[in-house]
Amino acid sequence: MDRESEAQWVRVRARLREEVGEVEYRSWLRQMVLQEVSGDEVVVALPTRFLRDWVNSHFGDRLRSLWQAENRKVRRVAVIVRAQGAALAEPVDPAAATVPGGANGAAVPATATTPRASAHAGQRLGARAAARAEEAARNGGDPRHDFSAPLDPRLTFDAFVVGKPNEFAFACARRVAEHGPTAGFNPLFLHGGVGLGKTHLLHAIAWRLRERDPGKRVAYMSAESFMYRFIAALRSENAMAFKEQLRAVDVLMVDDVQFLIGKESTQEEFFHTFNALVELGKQVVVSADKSPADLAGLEERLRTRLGCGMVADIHATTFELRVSILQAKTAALGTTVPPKVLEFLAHKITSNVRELEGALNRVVAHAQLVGRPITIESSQEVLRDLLRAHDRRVTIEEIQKRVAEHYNIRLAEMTSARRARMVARPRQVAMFLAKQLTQRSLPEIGRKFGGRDHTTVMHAVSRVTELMQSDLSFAEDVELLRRMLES
Amino acid sequence: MKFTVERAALLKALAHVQNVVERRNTIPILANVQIAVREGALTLAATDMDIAINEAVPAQASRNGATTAPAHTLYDIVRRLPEGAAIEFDFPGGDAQLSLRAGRFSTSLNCLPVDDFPAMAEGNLTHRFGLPANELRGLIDRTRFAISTEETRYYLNGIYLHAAESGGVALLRAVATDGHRLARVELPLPDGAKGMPGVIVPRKTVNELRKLIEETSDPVEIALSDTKIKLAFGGVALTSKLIDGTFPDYERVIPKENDRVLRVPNRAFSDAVGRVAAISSEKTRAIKLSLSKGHLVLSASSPDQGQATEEVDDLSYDAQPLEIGFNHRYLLDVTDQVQGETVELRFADGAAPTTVQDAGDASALFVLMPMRV
Amino acid sequence: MTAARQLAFGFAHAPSLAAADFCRGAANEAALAMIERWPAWPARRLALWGPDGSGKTHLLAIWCARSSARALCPADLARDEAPALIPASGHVALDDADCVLDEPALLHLLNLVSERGGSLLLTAREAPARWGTRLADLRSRLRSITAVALGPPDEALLRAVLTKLFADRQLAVAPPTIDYILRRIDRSLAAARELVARLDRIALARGVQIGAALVREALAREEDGGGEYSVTVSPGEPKLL
Repeated sequence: MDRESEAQWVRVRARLREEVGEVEYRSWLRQMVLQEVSGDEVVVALPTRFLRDWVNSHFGDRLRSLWQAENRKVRRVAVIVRAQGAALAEPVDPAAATVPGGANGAAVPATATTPRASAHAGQRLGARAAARAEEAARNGGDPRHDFSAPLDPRLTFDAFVVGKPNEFAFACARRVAEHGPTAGFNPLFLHGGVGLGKTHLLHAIAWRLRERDPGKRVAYMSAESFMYRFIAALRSENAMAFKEQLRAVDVLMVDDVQFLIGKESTQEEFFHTFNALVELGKQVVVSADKSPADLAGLEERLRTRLGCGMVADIHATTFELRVSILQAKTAALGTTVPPKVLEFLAHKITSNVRELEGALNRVVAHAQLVGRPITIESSQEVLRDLLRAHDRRVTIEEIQKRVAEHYNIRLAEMTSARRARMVARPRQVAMFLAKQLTQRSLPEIGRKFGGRDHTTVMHAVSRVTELMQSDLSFAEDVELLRRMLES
Repeated sequence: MKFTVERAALLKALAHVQNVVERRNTIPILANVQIAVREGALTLAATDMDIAINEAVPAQASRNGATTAPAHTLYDIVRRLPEGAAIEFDFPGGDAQLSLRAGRFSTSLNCLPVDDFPAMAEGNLTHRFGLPANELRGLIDRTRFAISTEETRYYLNGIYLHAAESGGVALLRAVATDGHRLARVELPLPDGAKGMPGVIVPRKTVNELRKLIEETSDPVEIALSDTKIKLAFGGVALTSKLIDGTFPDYERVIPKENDRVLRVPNRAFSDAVGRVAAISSEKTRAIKLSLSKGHLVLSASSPDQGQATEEVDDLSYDAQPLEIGFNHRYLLDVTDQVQGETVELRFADGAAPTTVQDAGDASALFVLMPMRV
Repeated sequence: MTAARQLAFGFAHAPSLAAADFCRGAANEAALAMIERWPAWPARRLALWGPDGSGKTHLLAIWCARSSARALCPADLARDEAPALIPASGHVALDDADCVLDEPALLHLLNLVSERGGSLLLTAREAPARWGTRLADLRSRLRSITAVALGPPDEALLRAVLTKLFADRQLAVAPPTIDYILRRIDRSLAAARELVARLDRIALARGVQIGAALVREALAREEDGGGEYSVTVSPGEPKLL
């Protein structure tokens, strides 16, 4: 390509960008590549058929006239598909494309470096958390911990919000973390409903133990992963090595042992490991969704052994605890959320802490994405799948009824042929709302309004749109109707 | 520019190039033929910006130069000149007219500047190979009838030329389809075509090329890239853009296991189809084949004209009875391409693709979709 | 024999799942922003939900290409246990996640992906909180996932999607025809997808162009609940989108 053509192309692009605006330009035109200029014809390439077709039909004429203004010889601009080299393709979002290299290895938990730490705007990790994150990143290379599942650096005692329902379990966990088997809680059995913080306490114990004595082998794993490893060891005829590794740990923590129900041989293996470790004076910590006595389906002798140390339960959260948790969590996210919204969440999401945190995450993430303040209304919308079992489907009939009531006209006027403004305007509003709030086709909407044509519906929509721009109180009226229908 | 040329030589070249020129043109210069004498050699050129043709014409030139003149007008004039006439062209340059003399006839034509004549860049043609003209004719003749003429489906508006492999043999394949029938013709892959991109050669290019090579016995040199193709033989060069599309995976619509086999004398079969079809409704053009062991009955009917049937003899069919309908035009298009004595049709059922082949020639395969009758 | 109809080949087409071909609009802006935000997903999990045709699978493919995640379908979970399903990258995407019948298998997948430090993307027609999950552990995990809805399209998005659907099938359809369609179909992406597939089939069988007349006919047939056209499918036809 000669330099003159390149320079012309730069100018053509710049002018097109100015004409169509940044958004359109980025969506459709950014990936255009000048392929050749052969005197009379300019060939522009795009990477996909869709972009080619779109650019051809929406910008083809503009491209040609802009080129002709630069070079009067140009008679035609051909737009073709040409796959572009990977090096040329711009990443979807350059800011988000910096994925730390370590995140790809399964052994190196992304927990440590990626999600919250680097990207959650405003998120700050304390110095200790950062140290833990580093340790977690090293985990993979450290033979002392390679038997353990990676620990989540966020799940520490400091980050655990204590209240009436969980204070006993918290105190027991702390004691084990500080004193190990000498605390006399062997095993420590934590139980409670799902999502109340059992896993959090297990991770916190492990972090503290490792912090106190970096030489200790602390193995944390879920019961499922205990099972997968055991089965894998059996299959590869490595069962002996597996047993030896297990018995060599100083502290064993197994989460959610209720998953061993029905898995006879895994239970058997777990039972023996458990006995061996306790006999050797090693600490065992176990969690489940029920107390040992209630774990029907688990072998009797295992239930007895699990219940013979300290059994601590975590109760369902109270409103006060939920508010505290939300406050702590908000602070950890480095953001602020209006107290009214926190109370709304604490009031609505009562099931467990996991869901409460999830809801807060969603509300905060959404506000960051759309750049709008967090309100009760926005939270209701973002969490509507949690708060309501179904989305409401507004029907055209409902719209007609509500609008007729609102403007105090008879429902029959929605389908009547009368054209007096006092009935025609509400009818137009109803058509506008039918287009906004339903997915019905315009001909279908027309039919529901007394067999009118789809062009009548289009006219009503543009009329109402116009009026909403010029008449503020009319706009508020329509907006009010829309909200009434949607709620 | 000044030269003298013999009428027949000029007429032949003009006939070639004026075919490329569209009858209606929004860009005036595209209606013109470029006439150029460079280093004493005369060439004519025309383009519609998708296809460009360039042809050398033997002439006695006395002065170099170039201009463009209306192609159809020039062709009309030359066509009407007496046979054997020597035609003298003179173009002094600049804004002057082109003067043409032959015997007592003389004319002056308005010209457009040669600098405005569109030049089609060939770009970097990555693959080059040669094909004997008769083989290229065979490739085109046996596929082009199946090219779609419906423009919405632009990727079917041409012949798909590509390198393929079958049973370890490297092949050059030409495929065309309109969604109802498909033609696939193959040749051993010529040297130089290995690794060539699959290209879709537009229908107009195919038709122009076919006219150009009607009488030649010279080998045709083919050069192509993924956007252009250039075909050259005996002083003529045709350069064309290719269709910017992806040909469908045609192999998946070619049935491999149709086991109901009909072998029938091609001539007798196609004649019978033609006779019975005479009564078929113009709208549907349907003809029905009713097959049973050793028997084939053709039938057609039309609400306006009545009905017709004919039983065909000397055939072999040894499978379950079958009734199947076809567009008779499609059947005849295919039997027209069969050179041998016997045509072989393979069926699965009345709604599945049917293959048609010359029983003695495996290089061409045709697939027809039936009609539901 | 007057009702004779020409049958047509069942050619396949592959819808483009390239990032450049994703049509942006208010309906999918939040979902797309979350995909672009990866790996900054709360708890490294994300769920996208919305009706057929709303772009879930396309977003899933975009994310898989960026993250080297493995794309799974419910059948994979029925066949293999969680450890065998997680790729070296640790990241997993599960399409049609609401169709997974084996709840413990899904729970194990969720847990194991987290345990290995990977990210997880789920797509479904309904929000995970509404799947009617029976297993309490799974239910609470699903309810805590950041779930982003893909909403109904506005006119601009519907126009772009129609153009893309035609481009996927290599059909040159003029913008006025697309406007004609826009004014007459149900304003959902599923309706657009269905209509484009129908137009493709009828036009191929008849050998006619796709213009207003054919659109009118195709829409009228839709209301009659079916069509007179038919297309034969060759054996081994893969699922077409």
